[in-house]
This record gives sequence, structure tokens and C-alpha cells, in this order.
Amino acid sequence: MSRSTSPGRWSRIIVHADMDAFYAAVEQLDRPELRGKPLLIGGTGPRSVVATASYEARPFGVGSAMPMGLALRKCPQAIVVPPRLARYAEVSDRIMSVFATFSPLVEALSLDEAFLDLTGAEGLFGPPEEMARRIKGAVREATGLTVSVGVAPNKYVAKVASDIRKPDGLCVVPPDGVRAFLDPLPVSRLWGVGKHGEERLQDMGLRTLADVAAADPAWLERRLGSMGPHVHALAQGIDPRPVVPDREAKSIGSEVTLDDDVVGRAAITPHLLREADRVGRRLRRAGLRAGGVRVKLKTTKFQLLTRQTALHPPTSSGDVLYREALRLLDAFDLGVPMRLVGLAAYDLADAAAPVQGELFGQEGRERQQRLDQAVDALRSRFGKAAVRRGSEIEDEGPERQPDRMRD
Amino acid sequence: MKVRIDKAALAVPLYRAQGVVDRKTTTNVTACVHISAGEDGLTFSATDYDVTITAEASAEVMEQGAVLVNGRALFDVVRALPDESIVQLTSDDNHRLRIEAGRSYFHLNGIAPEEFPPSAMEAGGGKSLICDKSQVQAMLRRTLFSVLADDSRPALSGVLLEIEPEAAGQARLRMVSTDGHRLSKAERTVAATDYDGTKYRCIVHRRGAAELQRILDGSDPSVRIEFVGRNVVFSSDKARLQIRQIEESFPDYSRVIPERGDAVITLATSSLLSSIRRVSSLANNKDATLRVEIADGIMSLEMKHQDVGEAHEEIELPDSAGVRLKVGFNPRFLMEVCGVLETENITLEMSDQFSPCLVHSDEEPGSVFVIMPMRL
Repeated sequence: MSRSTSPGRWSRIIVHADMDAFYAAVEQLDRPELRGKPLLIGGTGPRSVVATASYEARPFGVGSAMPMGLALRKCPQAIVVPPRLARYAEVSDRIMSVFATFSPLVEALSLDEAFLDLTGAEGLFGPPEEMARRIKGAVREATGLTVSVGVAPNKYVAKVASDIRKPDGLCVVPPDGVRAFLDPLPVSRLWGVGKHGEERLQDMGLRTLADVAAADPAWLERRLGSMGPHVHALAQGIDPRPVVPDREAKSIGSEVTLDDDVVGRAAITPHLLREADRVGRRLRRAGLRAGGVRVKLKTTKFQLLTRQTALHPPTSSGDVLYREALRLLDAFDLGVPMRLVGLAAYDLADAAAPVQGELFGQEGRERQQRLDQAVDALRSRFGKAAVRRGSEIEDEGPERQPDRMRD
Repeated sequence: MKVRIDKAALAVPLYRAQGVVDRKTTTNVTACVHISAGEDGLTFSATDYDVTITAEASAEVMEQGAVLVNGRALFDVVRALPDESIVQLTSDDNHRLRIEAGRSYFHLNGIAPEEFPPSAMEAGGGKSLICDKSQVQAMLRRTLFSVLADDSRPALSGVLLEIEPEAAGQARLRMVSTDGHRLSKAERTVAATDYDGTKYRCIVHRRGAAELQRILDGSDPSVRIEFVGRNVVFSSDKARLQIRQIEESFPDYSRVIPERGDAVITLATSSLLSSIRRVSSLANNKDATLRVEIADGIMSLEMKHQDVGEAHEEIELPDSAGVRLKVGFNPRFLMEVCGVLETENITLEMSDQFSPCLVHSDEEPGSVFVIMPMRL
């Protein structure tokens, strides 16, 4: 087998595909009168934040997770549109099915972004750049939306690459171009570091990824703890993590490194609710049920704490995951500030498999099951937007998650 | 402390303490065994605060005293000594224990014996009764296997023990366990001495119940059951097991035991067990479902494994004319009941895939098992 050697040998071909301003783009697609106008997707309540800002609004300095009030002061002419999550989920399903035609190895990170492993698919789709063009074309054809695509030998570099030429971007980083691509980038491009980690790196005199890559790994570990080896590897463009489809995962988890540290139960629970909802949705999409749930907290001193419990019966419901996660919170010392909140579902089994019946307390669960079935029936007859949870209408969280976990 | 004791006599109480000593740490009190030498011989104790075991052994005591040393290390040393050895145990001022046998000697670092929690060895004198150990053993065997294996629902993490008065000199003992998917109930009338007729009810954590099985292995034919404060204490064969009760309310088990099922089939326990075992030999995950179908006097058992293949077996049921039924089970649940119920024949009473299945045998009226089917 002979392969072109000029761009270096591709040991793996990893694609990161990320929809451009997804919520806003869907609104502009559905409502032509909104096209070309600055949009802010989000609620209007006092604590609402911007879930997505359209590209027309971004020059005003508006971005995801910004309080809505502040965003409107910066861009008063913006049109505020309440999010329609069910509609976005519907479009997302179409996008994910497009991805699935390119590779069986699709790892969906959220509604609007996914990793694809296209290693060995050059024969089908051509060289990496051609692959990326085909994916962009197929998404546009299926949905009318644009997607930014990064192609690289691993997940981290692919993710940075997809972001670098947004919107409608296409960036291929060949194996022998990884270092040249990463070196000039600021340390804020490191994955899973968060604002505080970034500040610490700055304090250590490290400005660019080249600085981090050149630093003594032992010194990094002394100063940063377990994060040291992680950032050192990433800065060198090393990331061996595989693309794992949810269907085959041992666990499905979601976590955020928070911009601001949180202390205490009340500050942690909203994050858990969001993660539980996300994990529930991913379980259902993968056709799985979880037999256990795990809560993961990381202190500002980078101490990782986890607590887990079995679920009887197994579930794919975000509500149940959240309720059990709340019980697990009692087993943590919540008096210390946390920088990361995560939730994972494990002990996964096929949702279509027979369910073990319960001896006690069946009535409540049967009612919940009947409710779920009724909602599913309504949705299949009248569309997914026919029935929504109250919590889905107001105050959507930011569209993206900074990073996620997987074991 | 200075004592001399047979290796065999020393190994028994140390063996009994192994289930309680913490194997993960080395220096905690919970990893240690407390040995005290008094006028009557040696007393060995180990605790994890929920379960405390105390065992006695006779020994030649030359100097009274106490030590607190790592329980696993001491057991490993004693086990390695030649049989028939006479072992000499000596403590020094630094809480070290010297173990000498023949030409070998060992030193184990210990901690101050006063560190052993006094509350772990509560005085006796509670309400009690003495009964036949083999009955208690048999009931444990029929219930311990279906206790919830984790602590996600504390009330289900142990065996419910109920004691009620019967005729004079007798007591009704009942043990119930459930993991939420199946339930086991064993009850027997036993001869009881020293029993004042009080009703008792408590939940014994599965770890304590497993230790109880271990101390009942000894030669003493009886066991004393005693209620002391928040603890239940079992004594047999010079060993005393104190278990902190689970202070939760056990679910109302009588509500979930069906009176009868629509379809009643009786068959040989061993043939049901070996059929299920064969059919599930392909099973590669714990969630595999045994599909049971009864029609035209035949019970067919089937298991499908997505990646491997499928297994099928039929059992003739001459007495089941007119019965038609389709239901799924976790095969392990049925096999475990077949395994503990030591009867020739077994009766299954089933209604449909949503209703609990009743399992029992005419040969053993006190034992009843309930298994929830899997919804196909």
C-alpha cells in the first residue's frame, strides 16, 4: 500500500464538525425575516443568559453564556428569540444521521458538534480535505445550515482546527503540520483548562502553546498537579483518546469546567440538572439505559471527588439521573470551592432489552412510564415540538459545553 | 502479656476475625485484632464498628495483658507455621507482639490496646433465647443470597429477622430478604430455651449475616440470639458476633407475596436447575433474559444472545394441560432458588409477565420465594 508521504502519514483521521451559531442559524432558517439580523437566543428573565448569538451580533462583543441584560446593552438592536430546544434536537438528529453516513464511529458531544473517525476512509471519500468538503456539502444539503470542520490526526487538534476558521470553516492539519499549527496559539486554546487554569499558566509565564510544549514536564506537574502532564501532551499535539460512539461507550458523561468556581449545594445543582438532562438525552438517542449514576466534582485544588450509586430500575430519564445525583451530593463535602461539575451514567444496557420487574413501589414508576409513553405518542403524531418540559422553555444554558468526560 | 497456645487453637479465632478486619488499611483499629489474656485464656476481638466479632481460646497464660496488632498479618504468620507448633505470644512496652514457634520468631508492630473501641464490646444481659443452630443456618442459607448487594436502599441491605412466641418452649423464627426484584422468606418453629416470649424484629446487615454463617460452622449445636441496645448478638461455639441493626423500616413483604398464580407447575428441582444452567451457558452478560413458554404440556426455555447465538430446551409437563403462558426471567434468580431449596420437587406459580412468580415446595412449607419476571 503506497500513500502520499508529502503531508506526513495520517495514523488516524479525526474530524471535528461544529455547527455555526446553531440555535441562531436554525431560527434564521425557519424564519427568513430574521436572516442577516443580529439575534440573541435565550430567555428574557432576570437571570437569563445568551444561549447563542448569531454572527451578526458577535461584532458587538456578544457571546454565549453572557447575561442577556448585558448583551442587550452591548447590542441594543438585537432581536431576542426564545429557544426551541425540541426543534433544535430535531435538526440535530438530521445532522447526526448525515455524519453516520460517513463513519460508524460518531461521537456526539452535544446537539451541534461531533467527532468522526474517518481513518482508512480515503478510498471512499478521498484525501482529508475532500472528506471535509463532502461532510460540509452533505450537512448543507440535508439541513440548509453551515458547519465548520476541522480534520487532524487526533481529537484535540481537530477541535481547535474546526474553531479557527469559523464560520463555514474548513481546516486540515496534517500530522507534520500539527506543531506549526499549535505553537503560536494562546494557552486559552488548551482543552479542559478553564479560566482559572489559563490564569495560572499566564502567571507561570506561559503565553503560547509553544511555551507550554517547551516547558519542563516535571515543573509543570509540580505547579499544576495532574493537569500538568495533560496540558503538556496537548500543547505538543498529543491526544490518544479514541472516538467512542455512545452506543459502545461503557459510560456516558458530561461535565463542565466552570468559568467561576462554585461553593455549596445551591450553586452546584443547576449545573447537575443541565448535565443530567444532557446525559439523559444522549442515552435515549443511543437507545441505552443506565444502571448507575456517578457525580464528579473537582475542587479548586484539583482534587477529584466522585460518588456513585446503582439505579433501580435502570433509566434513561434525565429527571431520575438528576434526583439520584442530588442524593449523591449529600456524600460530598460541599464546603470547598469546586471548579468542575460532572455527571456520568454507567452500567449501560440496551433500552429495548427486557426490563427486570420491581416488587415494591411500582405504581409511581408505572405512572411515569405511562406519562413518557403518552408524550412519545403525542410527539410521534404531532412532531417533537408538540410537548415540552417547562424547564426547556426558559433559560436554556449556553449552547456548548467546554469539555466532557468519557471513560 | 505472655501466653502459650497450640497453633490450631490460635488459628480458629484468627480465621473468624478475618471477615471483619479491614484489608485495605494496615494501621487503623479496624484492620487490627485485639487479643487480651485473662485468667480463663485468650479473647480475640475485631470490629469495623458495625460488626464486632469476639472469639475465645484456651491458652496457658503466664502473664495477663493485651495487644492490638494487624489482624491479617498475624493470621498469615500463624497460618504459615508448621502444624502442631506450640506458639508463644509476648507483648512488649512498645505495643509490639513477638510470635515464637520452634526456631522461628516474628515481630508485629501494634498500637495501644486501649485504642480498641470499648463500645464495640457491649456487655451482654439483653433479652435472649437459645435455639438450634442448624435451623438458623438453614434459614440464612435460604435468604442471604437475595439481599440487595449494594447499599443504595439501606433497608434492603440486610436480612430481616423476626422472632415470635409459639407454644411453651418454642419460638417462631422468620427471615426475609429482598433486593427489590425478588424476595425470599424462610420461617420455622424451633425449640427455644431461655426465651421470655417477647417479639423481636431487626434487620441484620448482609456483612454481619455472612459472618454469622461463618461462626455457625463450629461444633456447638446451639446459638444464642440476644438483643442488646441497638445491636443483635449471636453467640455460638465460643464466638460472639455483635451486629449493629439497620435502623430502617423493612418493606411490607406480605403485600408482595401472591396467594397463588394462574398457572401452577411442579417439576423436579434438579432437572429445572440443570436445564436453566444449560440454556444459560451461552450467557455473556448479566442482563440476559430466560424466556419461558408453557403450551401443550411442554415448558420451553430459551435464551438469545445477540452476538453469540441461542439456546433452547424443552421440559415435559404432563400435568399442565390447558396452561399457556409466556414469561421472562433473570435465569440467575431461578437457579439460586433451586440451589438453596433442598427439595426433590419445586412448584412455580405464574400469572403473566407483570405479576410476581411464586416459588415453593410442598416438602418445605416454611420457605417461599417470589421472583418478579422481566418484561419482554
